[in-house]
Amino acid sequence: MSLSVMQIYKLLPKTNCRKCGKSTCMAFAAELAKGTAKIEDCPPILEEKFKNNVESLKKYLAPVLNKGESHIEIDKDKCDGCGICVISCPVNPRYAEEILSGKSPKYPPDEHIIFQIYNGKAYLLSFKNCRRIEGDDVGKSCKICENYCPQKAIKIY
Amino acid sequence: MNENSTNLKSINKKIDNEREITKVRGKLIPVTCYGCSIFCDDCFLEVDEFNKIIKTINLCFKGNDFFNSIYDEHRFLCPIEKQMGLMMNLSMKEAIEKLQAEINGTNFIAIYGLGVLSYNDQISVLKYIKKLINNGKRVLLKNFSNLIYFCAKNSLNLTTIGQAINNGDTFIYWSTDPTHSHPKLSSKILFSRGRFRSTGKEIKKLILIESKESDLTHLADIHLNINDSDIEEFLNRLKILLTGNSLDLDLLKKFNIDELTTKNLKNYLNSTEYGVLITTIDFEKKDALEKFKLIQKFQQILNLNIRGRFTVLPISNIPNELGLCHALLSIFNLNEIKQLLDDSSFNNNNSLGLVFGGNYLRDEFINKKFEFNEPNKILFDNFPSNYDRQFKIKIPYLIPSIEYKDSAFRLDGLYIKFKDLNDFYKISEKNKEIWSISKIFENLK
Repeated sequence: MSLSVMQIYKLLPKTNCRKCGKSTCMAFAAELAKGTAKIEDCPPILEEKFKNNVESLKKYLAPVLNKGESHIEIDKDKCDGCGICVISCPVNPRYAEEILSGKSPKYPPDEHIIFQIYNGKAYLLSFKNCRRIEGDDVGKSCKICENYCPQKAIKIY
Repeated sequence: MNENSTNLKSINKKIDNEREITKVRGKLIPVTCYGCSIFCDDCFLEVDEFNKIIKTINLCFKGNDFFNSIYDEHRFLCPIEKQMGLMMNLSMKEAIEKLQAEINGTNFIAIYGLGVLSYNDQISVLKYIKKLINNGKRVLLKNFSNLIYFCAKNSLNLTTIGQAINNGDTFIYWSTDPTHSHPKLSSKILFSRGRFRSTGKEIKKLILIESKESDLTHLADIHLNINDSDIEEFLNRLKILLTGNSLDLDLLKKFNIDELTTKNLKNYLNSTEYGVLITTIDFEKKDALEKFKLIQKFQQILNLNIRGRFTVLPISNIPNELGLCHALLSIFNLNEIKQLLDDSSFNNNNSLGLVFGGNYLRDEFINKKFEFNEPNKILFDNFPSNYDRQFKIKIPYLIPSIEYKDSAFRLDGLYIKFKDLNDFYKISEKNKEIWSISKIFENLK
């Protein structure tokens, strides 16, 4: 799930204390959404009472906060639709049991499915369930789809 | 890296755009792909009210091209004949009359490319060939080795894709690049049921024997860079490596295989319970018989010296080569087959060539040219190719698995019935002037 600037703002202390260097909390929220600021830049939010807010922010802003290794891109020119990403991804079989027997997922896909093949090319359908976003420590460093793409068409950054 | 791509909004917008494609707008039709010999049966087409394909689902780039080819603007929608250097349109009945006249006018008929047809089409053509032979004509199946004659007497311990998925723990890909010619093969076999356990431990081993870098090279646990010409000596040394209790790590040094790889190779093979040897058996090559014997030898060496067992999963570029073997065996006896495949007294100078065109006339991955020696040639093909100028008449035909229901033999021996497309095969409404190969040959006398 993604958050808008307003939703991020609601999770901030809303004190406009300027300790982060920005004039308002709204401006800080916009910077967070862009990925140009870190949560730790806001000293008041590190207090105990905002603990849940910080966790929510970290969870939803993961693609932006882990800048440099938080998004998957598929090079459609290189992809040949072999489907290895669909089947090797550890998340996909949780929502499409047919993958366990070597079959491709059914259509229309479950909303949690991450990869599926259309018109001979792999498409990234959802990112929120990727282990890099919602997984534990081991999952956060998952690069199975990138490592096992024979055409090297998948890039994680 | 694009700066915008790290913006949360742009990431989600991009995913939303990609997710747009998952919306079902038309009718969904489950299909069996006829693009290569794997025959994927977990694919769908989404078509609009006019039976036009909106998108293909779970098909690789080859399958996608295959299914979209029926609407190709270059597809021939009626037979054509070369007259005075010009291509003239014919009706199907006219074309069959001309075909009949050509067949009646010669005693020698050479047939090419029967392996691209579906099983029932092959049966129809072979039945007609039998009729011709009974009428005193001589027929030769060209570019098809006498492997079928050998296979009828000898056999390999074959496995199926299903068994490989369920039981396989060590996979040897030998001088074939499946990710290139059969993109979905690796995903179905090697990566199904998780190459990983939940703990992340790898459970399937991949050994690649290939003399060049391929798409699978960086995925292989062991890559053995061995030429096809050296494979016999490699097998002899492998036999010594697997037989002896002591480990001679220099045994494979000749092939630039280091000690650690040799040790790992022995360990992987010894710990195998259900191994799968995936390789190409190309029925059309003249050295197919030698390859077949090498595969047999490879399998024997492995099975006699390791605890588990190895089976063979053959693959091929031509969709229904094994179907042709079955069709031949069901219509002719072994002596007749031997004569059909190898007739030294066949006269090329006064013969008619019937060529069934397929990807092999266009496939960019095949770097060989076909030579048709017959003075008169008739081509059954739907699309333009570099060989068109050589042919007198070109007859298009309906495509099996898309435009009518049929069956084929996957090269691992499994009989595949194409999915019932209900009324979808009427997709070729504009192609109703075109007949299937079965119908064409049933109308010949």
